[in-house]
Amino acid sequence: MSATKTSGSLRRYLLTRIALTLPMLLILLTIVFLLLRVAPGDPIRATLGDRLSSAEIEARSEALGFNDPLIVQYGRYLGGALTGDLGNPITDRRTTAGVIRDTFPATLELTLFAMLVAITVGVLIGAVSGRLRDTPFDVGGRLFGIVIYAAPIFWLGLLAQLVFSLRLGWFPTGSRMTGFDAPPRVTGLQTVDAVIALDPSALVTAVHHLILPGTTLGLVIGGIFIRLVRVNMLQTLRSDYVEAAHARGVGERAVLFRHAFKNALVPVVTIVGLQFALLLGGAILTERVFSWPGMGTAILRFLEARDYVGVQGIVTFFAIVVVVISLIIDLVNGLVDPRIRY
Amino acid sequence: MPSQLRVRLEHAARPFRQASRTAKVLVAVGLLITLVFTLAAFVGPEFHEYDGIQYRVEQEDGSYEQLPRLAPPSSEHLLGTTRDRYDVFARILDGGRLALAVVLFSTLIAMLIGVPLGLLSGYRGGKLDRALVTVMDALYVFPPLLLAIIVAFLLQAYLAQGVPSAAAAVGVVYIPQYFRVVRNHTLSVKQEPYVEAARSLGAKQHTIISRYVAFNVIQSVPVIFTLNAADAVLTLASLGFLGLGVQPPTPEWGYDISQAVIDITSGVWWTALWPGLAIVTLVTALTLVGEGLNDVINPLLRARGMSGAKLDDDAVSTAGGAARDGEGTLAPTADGDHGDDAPGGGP
Repeated sequence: MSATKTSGSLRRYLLTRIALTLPMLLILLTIVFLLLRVAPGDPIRATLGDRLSSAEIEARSEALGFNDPLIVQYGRYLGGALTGDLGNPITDRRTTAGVIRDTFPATLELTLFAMLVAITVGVLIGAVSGRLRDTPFDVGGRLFGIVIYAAPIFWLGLLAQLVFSLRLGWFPTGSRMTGFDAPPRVTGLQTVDAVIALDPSALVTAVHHLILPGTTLGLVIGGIFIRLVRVNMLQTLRSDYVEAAHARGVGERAVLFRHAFKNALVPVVTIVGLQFALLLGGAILTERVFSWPGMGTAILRFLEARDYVGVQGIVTFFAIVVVVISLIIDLVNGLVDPRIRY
Repeated sequence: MPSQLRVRLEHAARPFRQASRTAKVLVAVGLLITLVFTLAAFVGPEFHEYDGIQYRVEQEDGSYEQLPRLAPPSSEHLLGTTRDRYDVFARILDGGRLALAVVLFSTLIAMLIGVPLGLLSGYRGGKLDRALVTVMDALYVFPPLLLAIIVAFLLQAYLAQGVPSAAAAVGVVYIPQYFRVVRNHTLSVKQEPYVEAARSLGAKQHTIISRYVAFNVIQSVPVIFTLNAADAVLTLASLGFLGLGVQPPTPEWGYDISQAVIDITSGVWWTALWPGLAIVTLVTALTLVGEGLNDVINPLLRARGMSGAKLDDDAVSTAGGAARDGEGTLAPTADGDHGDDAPGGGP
């Protein structure tokens, strides 16, 4: 891993990767535009066709520019997407950007908490399983990993509600703090806002609300981490440098933590980014089950209202988030792993 | 040519005989459960007396016997009844049939689009390849469930919510996976001497692709198929849960669970628990088959020097997950130096 030797290729990798982001984003946005703007025809008619007269629809379409040539609308859409203007939903007074501002922090807080759970569970069980290979713990850990991944998130969420809120009464069944209970909004992440407001009771309440939905979402993703960390642990334990460490008389514990464990974690970094896409998808289901007022709830509301403009706006935001995350992960990977180059 | 067929079959069976015991057990257990589900789905509905829509039993005088509402599991209703007076067990059986049908059709759709595109892209290379790879990569990083939701939502305008629309929505998600694996595999097969030989003998491009390349590449498809099948069951259930699956009240596990949400608050657990358990069991079984197959087929590929270096010979390897989640970040190196998935790597 000599830094001087690879720095040239590293710089080239980073630059190429950044340069590739724009076409990828462009393609995703084009697909979104084709699917949600071109395919359904006039969005006003598709959304309100049964509620408004033809003349009214015509007037609104004209006013909102849906009668312009598609190429003009495409240009306007791309320009808007890149400057943060994601359109005005037909069934909501707020702009799409406004809806996202109101709901994205809730989704972010949920997914970050879930990721924390997933990594903790996955790394702990995975590493111990790998170390205690073929013991009952290993078999149990692997089975848990497979079965938990096979469980539908929404079903786990329901069972969690049934047991932990209704039977045992430990946690609220869902939703976040609202109104006066919530700490003054700074970031929108209620845990962070509570810390900023120096309000310990709000922090406790925020975490209290997060635990059930976050753990549900996190456990499912954690199943993947268990398998990944376990296999990597097995591999590193068999590797030359671990053998060399043993031969040098390094203690068992030092070998495990200093040599094997650390290296077993590198691929996890890779996979964390990928899981964000799965997490965002899972968040839609989790939010539905736990009435969590996030972006998933927002897009489901637009879907039910058949509000094409609203759906298009939120999906566009998802696309941008996904592309940015995959860029960040690839950059981190490039820095961590010198084998990843173009 | 029966003798030639036998040689081919034996050739195909060899990796199974050489596989580790764990892999065999995994495949066997998974196959057994899948088989039970398939049987239950196709023979099961014959065993219950309810009609497949309203779940009522017609009486001799033409009226309908009403099932009790939210009856707990009993000898009469093995797994209880729902708010809509449906028998939970009967709905699970019928839901299984629907799930298997959608899984089959959706993977078929994904294969029919993904495999030929992957072959073409990998074999032809050049601009076409670059364009297709970029589009597929873009689709691949997109949250799969959201993609399925969008397609299901769009199809609502054109198609009734039935098996075809659900299968299309679920299938779209897996096109990039088939494309990637087949394309990467094609890239390495393309360099093989026998393909070059065929080319130098003046074989037509489409003959080379269909006779020489496709036959070799196709063996990576079963693994993705079983892993996708597991995932497809979950995706279908998720769509159903969100009301974007098949038309209610068609029995579908995800939809049935969504109808059980309200029961949970009054402490009724059987309407949610059983359909979910059915999903977990079937998905676990399909995953076991997929991972077992993966383990069986990978050593073969490795022996031929075509697999990535990171594979573990342990029964449950990362590659199982990789077909579904492990590839995205490796996108820039899709040409094969980092293929986590079985057929991805270069020699």
